[in-house]
Amino acid sequence: MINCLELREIELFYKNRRIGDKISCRFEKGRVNLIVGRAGSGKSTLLRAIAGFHKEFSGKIFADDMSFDSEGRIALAFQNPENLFFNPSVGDEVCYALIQKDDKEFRQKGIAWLEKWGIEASAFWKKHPFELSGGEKRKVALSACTVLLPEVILLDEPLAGLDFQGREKLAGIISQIARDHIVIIVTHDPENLIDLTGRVLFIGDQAVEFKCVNEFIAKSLQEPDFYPLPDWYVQAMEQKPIKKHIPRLRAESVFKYLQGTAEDADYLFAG
Amino acid sequence: MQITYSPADSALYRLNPFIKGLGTLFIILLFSVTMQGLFSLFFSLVLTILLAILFKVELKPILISIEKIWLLLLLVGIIQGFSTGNFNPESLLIAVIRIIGVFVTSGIFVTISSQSELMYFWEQSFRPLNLFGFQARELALVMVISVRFLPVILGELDRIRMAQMARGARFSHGVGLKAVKSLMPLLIPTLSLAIIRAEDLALAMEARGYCVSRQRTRYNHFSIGFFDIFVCGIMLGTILAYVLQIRF
Repeated sequence: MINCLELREIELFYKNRRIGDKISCRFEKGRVNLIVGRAGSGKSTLLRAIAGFHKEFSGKIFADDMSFDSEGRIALAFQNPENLFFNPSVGDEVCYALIQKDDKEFRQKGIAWLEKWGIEASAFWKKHPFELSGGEKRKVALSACTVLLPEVILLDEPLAGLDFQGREKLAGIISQIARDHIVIIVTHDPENLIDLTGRVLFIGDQAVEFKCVNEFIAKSLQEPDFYPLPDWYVQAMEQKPIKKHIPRLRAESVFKYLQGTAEDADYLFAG
Repeated sequence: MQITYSPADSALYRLNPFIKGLGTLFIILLFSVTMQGLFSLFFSLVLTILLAILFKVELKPILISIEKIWLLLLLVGIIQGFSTGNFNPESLLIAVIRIIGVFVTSGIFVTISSQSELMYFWEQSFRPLNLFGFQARELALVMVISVRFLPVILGELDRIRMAQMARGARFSHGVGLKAVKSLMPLLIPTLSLAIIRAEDLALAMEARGYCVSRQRTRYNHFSIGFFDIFVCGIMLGTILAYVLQIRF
């Protein structure tokens, strides 16, 4: 199993045009790794380059200091993976990749993997994917995209379009999976993943930075032009001076505080 | 590089959209139906390109896109080359120039016509069908929307292909029914997304007050000018000259 995926001097190109600066960073197993940046900065293109779908790049990718070949070692879930459903049941959808690989134990493996993503196989196995709720669809789609259990899992905005509770649950599941796999996520909501994240790769207009998540959030709060965090988050964080450790802020707590049902600002940071 | 409307200011751009469409059809027929020799066809193609350059048409995307139809050019060229039994390079070249001529002319029409002009052209073309109670405007709208969304759907198809490959799909294995079945991961999501997009568009149009049966006003009014009459004259003159050449 790979413990560390290292990008050395990666320079991305799109139709012969260079995108951004050179990227060098190390993604490690055990914690979720984030890639953030403004729209069009090349985040999704970087994921595709790591997965071997985007060939226009220079530089090297190493796995535990050995040259990395993505073939069969990576799963990549694109944005809105539920749009890829084409099978008549959840079971068929999840087992599709295993069946393609002629895996005889596809059913057992499919059930186990689906359960790991928080979907009860006995209740959902025979359901049509379009019968599920938004959050359930997302979980089924992500489990279908990653069922081959590769060493590296790349997810492009997995939390986008989900409600607060759906995000919380899915983020928890992803952090569980990150214990045994290298998980790299492209996201626009780093503030939702503070507890789970190891390091953040920020692809900016001027420079590329690879930071610890607390450092990244602190810098974003101090310099709003660096990375725009949502207003509710910035205003709630203004209630308390920023210290070295940045607590995770729950949108639910902020909502109660703003409604006036919470006693004082400390409630926001109670966890 | 995609062939799309690229605005510029020239007499060709200012032509009435219906005359633009008619002229395009005329040149396409000139390339595809008329019995011309190799030199005459080549001269027609060069003249079309020179006129396009003169009237400030952005030709680069069209000429680059010829590369995409090289297989068609090769196949049709070879078939035509052997059409008389022995291989005749002149027949091959004639077939290739005919296809390139039709392709370049259609490309020029798309480059010089905005969406509302295309809509106007289709509307005017389907107008005779109104006599039979057919809604020409609606059919024109359907045509324009289909053309407008074709690049979007193709882009989506490419994205879905990549995403399905990332989850282990293989598209080119098996023969017959098995081969068709292997394309399902590509076809079903593309079709379902196209239907969702169509419904969203229909809802958005209804929300903005679009109604099929209502008579609507037009933002752009197109009139017939001197240059339009001049172009019609050239077309009629060419047809007359061609007919006279055949008869005598």
